[in-house]
Amino acid sequence: MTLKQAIEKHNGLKFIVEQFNIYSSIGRKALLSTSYLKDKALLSSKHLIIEGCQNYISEPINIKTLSKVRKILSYFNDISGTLNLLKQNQILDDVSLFEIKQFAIACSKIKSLIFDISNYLPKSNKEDLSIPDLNNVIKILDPEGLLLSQFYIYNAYSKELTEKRKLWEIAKKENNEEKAFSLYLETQELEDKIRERLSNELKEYVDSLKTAIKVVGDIDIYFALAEYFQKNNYIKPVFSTTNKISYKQLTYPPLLHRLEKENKHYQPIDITLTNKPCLVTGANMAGKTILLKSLWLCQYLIQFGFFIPAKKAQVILVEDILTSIGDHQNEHEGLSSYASEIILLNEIIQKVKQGKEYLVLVDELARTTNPTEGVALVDSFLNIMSNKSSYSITTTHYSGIKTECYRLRVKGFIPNKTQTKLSLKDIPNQIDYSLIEDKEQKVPNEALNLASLLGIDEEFIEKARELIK
Amino acid sequence: MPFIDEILKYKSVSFVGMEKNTGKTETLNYVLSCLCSYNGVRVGITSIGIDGEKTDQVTKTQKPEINISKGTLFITSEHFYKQKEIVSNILSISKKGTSLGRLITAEAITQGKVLLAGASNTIWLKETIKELHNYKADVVLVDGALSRKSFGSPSITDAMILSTGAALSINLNTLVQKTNFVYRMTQLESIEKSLTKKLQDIESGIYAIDSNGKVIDLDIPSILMIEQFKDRIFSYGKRIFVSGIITDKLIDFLKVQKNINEIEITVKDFTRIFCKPENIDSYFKKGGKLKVVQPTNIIAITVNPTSPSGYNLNSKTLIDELKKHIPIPIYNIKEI
Repeated sequence: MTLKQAIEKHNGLKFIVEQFNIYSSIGRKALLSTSYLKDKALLSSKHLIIEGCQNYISEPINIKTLSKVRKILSYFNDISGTLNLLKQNQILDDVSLFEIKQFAIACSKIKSLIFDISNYLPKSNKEDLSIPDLNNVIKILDPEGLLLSQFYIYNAYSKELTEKRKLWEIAKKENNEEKAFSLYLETQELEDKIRERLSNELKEYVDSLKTAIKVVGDIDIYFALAEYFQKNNYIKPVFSTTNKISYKQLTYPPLLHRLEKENKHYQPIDITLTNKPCLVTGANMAGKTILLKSLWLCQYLIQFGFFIPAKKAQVILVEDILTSIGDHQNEHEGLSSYASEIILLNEIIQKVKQGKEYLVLVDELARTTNPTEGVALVDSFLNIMSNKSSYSITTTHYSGIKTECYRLRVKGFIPNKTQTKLSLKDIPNQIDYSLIEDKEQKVPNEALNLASLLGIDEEFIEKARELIK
Repeated sequence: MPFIDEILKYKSVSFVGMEKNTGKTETLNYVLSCLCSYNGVRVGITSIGIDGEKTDQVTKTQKPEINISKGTLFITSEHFYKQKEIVSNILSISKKGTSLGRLITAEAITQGKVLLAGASNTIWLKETIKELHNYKADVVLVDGALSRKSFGSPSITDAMILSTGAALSINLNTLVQKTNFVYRMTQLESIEKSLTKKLQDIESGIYAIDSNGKVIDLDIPSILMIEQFKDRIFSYGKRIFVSGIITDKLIDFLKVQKNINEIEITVKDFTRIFCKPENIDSYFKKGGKLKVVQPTNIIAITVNPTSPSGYNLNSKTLIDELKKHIPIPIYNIKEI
């Protein structure tokens, strides 16, 4: 899976990735093709480079350098296509030669601007952001040694060409069109020979140029990541040595962003999980879905080698993230919400049964069918998730789930007697979103409280209350 | 060399022909040859779009080439760049592309012939002109087009030179009338400055301008469908901005409205008017108003009295007739 595919699945991830300040098209392309990794060593090495870049930009003098680098990055052309032509022994035209020269000169400028970046990187990664030396490429395309981002088949390439061009000029001045045209053709032939020669000489440097493209993309990406994570207080995740996942002060950035804009308080949450199935209960609007989305988002961030929006985190790596969140209708054409959900769930079960480690996130399992069978389905699902190496979190409104599992409950409404009526907007302020361990099998009955706080028809609610009694 | 001094007063000048073979390219080449004898004047040149005369696949007539001198900056497409008969230095390549490839900005190392192509819309055209100025061009010449196919408008240049001639009509009266009509359209009143900014970059749609100067989208997909949406068009008053072209159909519709003397139509510039002269005139006569966002500063007209079929009008008579109606310099390049 690539980042490009992942952001299609999770709009919170998209929200974050869109805010990275990537300056070059090479960087953007490389970022989106970042792979989902399961290799701790590779991910750790990415973390080290991000930290190195953070150290680099923490020095004021380097911030200026970075803005110069970024200015150059924004003009970068992706020359991968041209390099493939070279590899296939094709002769490049002036435009392609110009692009290679422009690329090589820009690379050497960046190289000299961030010459000391390796000092900020750990020993194992010292060379990761160093662009290969492309001076030979520049020399080939800059016979006059002007170091300008310009190109044509210079006179300096061939005395014969210089002579022919002079004669051509004279013929044109004399208005001798026939002679001028034949001299033009001769110069074209000579130019083509030079293009062939240059293409051959450049072929030797295709690999260096390809490495340079990769490194330029990396420089662009790593500085963007370093800057973004620093600015938004993301932390480096620590890989758990046991089977324990733990987040302290976990936030969901899209929501945080919205609440900050509305000048509202955001309550981060703490959660600890093991591969014992976890059942989360809590009132409506208590943030159960956001909890699942946050865990999903963080798992993506972790496995793409990014930092995460929490104060502290111990994390594990999984094969994939399997989710059943949201309204399933329309996903499978012609099927009801329940049918689509159960088909999706079946796919999850089949994968988990194969024994690999997955992160499984299921929101309100079987909520669209009758509660008796619904409870049974939740119970049965948790049972299947038990004794598997996957990590699962299931949310529910159903009481009476008997399977032994790790039960968490969102604290929910803060009792406040002065308030009798609330508008939809006030509700978040009346909820404690923190998770507490729950030994009970009974879920909190807060649906009616919430409805009455919302000022819903009294008769409607009172009747319901009586029926419960 | 008349009107060269006039050209040097402006930072950008477009060249527009009323029809193929009205001598636009000759005019451009003439101006280029004159400018190159001015010491220290750096010329930049580009074109609008890739359509028009250059790729004349139908008639197989030779594509007109532009003759530029050493030091001239030019912009053309990758495809045309390869066909140049000149030694030139590539300075930059655009990120965006046209159907003939990206745009190349280059500087002539020797004198010679190039084929021009350019930006395909007005915003991009502005950028390319700016780019040539960034490379220190004192004056930028734009090979323009009067075409409903073109989204790039030559009106954004500081000045314009119009070419007309027997290719348009071999009937002297018709030729004079048609040319005069275009000239008059270039002289239309422009809207107030406060609206220019709001309207100049709108690329599609039909809008009302209310009494407070607010621009409201009327949600009418095309002016060609005006009949279906006639109930909507005047829902915010009688000032209407049409971002695309206007045709006789719209004018016919407007002419039968009550209070026609309150109606004011605004178009981007004169190149968006595709109406019969008599139709526009009767609209004006009934009191209708027509304004432009972008005024056009037309500084000269050139004439080519020879039609492609070989018919010759009398050059002097043609110029004299035009001068009766049009108070700007009019020349036959070949007789200067």
